[in-house]
Amino acid sequence: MSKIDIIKSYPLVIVSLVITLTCVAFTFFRGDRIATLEARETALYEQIRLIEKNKINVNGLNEDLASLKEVVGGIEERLFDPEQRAVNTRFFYSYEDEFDMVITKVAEDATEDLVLGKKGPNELKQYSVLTYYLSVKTDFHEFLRFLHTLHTDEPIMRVSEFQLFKVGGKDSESLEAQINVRVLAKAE
Amino acid sequence: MASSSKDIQPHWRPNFCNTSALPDIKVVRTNFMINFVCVVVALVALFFVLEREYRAHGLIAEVERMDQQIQEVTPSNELALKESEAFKSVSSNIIDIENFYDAPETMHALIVKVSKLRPEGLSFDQFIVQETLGKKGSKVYVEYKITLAGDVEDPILLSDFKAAVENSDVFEFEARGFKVDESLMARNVTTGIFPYRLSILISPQIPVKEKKAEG
Repeated sequence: MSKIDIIKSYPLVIVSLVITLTCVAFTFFRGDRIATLEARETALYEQIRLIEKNKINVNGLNEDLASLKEVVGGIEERLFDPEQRAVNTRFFYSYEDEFDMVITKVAEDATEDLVLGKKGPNELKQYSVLTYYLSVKTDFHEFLRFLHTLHTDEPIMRVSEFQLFKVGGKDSESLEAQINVRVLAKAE
Repeated sequence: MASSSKDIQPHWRPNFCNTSALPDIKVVRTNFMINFVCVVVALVALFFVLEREYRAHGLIAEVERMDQQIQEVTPSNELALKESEAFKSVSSNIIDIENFYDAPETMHALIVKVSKLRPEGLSFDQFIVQETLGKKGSKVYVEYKITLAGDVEDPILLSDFKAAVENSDVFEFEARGFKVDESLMARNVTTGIFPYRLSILISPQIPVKEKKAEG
């Protein structure tokens, strides 16, 4: 019996073999299609999830943004202008009119603030800071009132350090103080 | 002369039989098993391919649906992202303000609170608050040192003042502990009073004291 006769006697085997080989070839060429589609489905699912999360997060954000811009606008109006050195220095001397004290010195520190400056632990990103050294002669009550006013006045200021010394005799109420005042200013 | 394959004589067999030409006379015929196995293998392969194609078809439909969904919401999402970005940008101004005011206490409030702890017979001649930077590894932090100096009539008053400072909540700040040191100088022979110095260090590196249970 020849090989062709053998093949002819097993038609089902031949057909099955052809089908099997076709399937193997098909799987070989399109094998990564499912994996690709699954990866794309996962990526799209994540994208949709993110979009939905954004949708929830943005709820009421517009109103918050508007009120925040208003607050920031108010802050901008209160900032010192680093270029206006004379005006800034004059501002501190003007406290003499308001308080019973003598301001003997107002000096601006030209060096960068170690706390609020670049790479400082509380580095400012949007604003800059000016540091002023004030020397004043006054009494305890006026000194306290002055510190409170520095904290609550229109420009955004904070007393970071001070040295308060009693001067005169034991019963004297006179004080001398050196005060470091930080003032928030426009970014340079 | 070349002979055709039909003319080739089968190999010689001891029983003189050409088995390939003989009919299948086994009691249980086994030829069908070859067909059966081949058909099963083909069907399995076919099922495998069809199942994968069906899954791929489903995935394509799902991906198209998701793509469509994303395209529909993309404009509103871009708007949301713009708003979020604007909010983030504006909020950094507020973070700056928080950083600017980051201190345990305002100075005027601190002076008032410390003054209230002062016992009679102890006076302040100096009140100094200094801000310094500390470093631990790569972390830089801010410390505050309060120095009080003056005179005290009786050394026990300084001890009382130190105890009052240590037990008060004036220096209890979030994530910052404090420690108190005092030193007493030689008595002034003329006045009979003792100059003293008391320093309070407020630092994030000092463990915060646990509050004692009330009652």
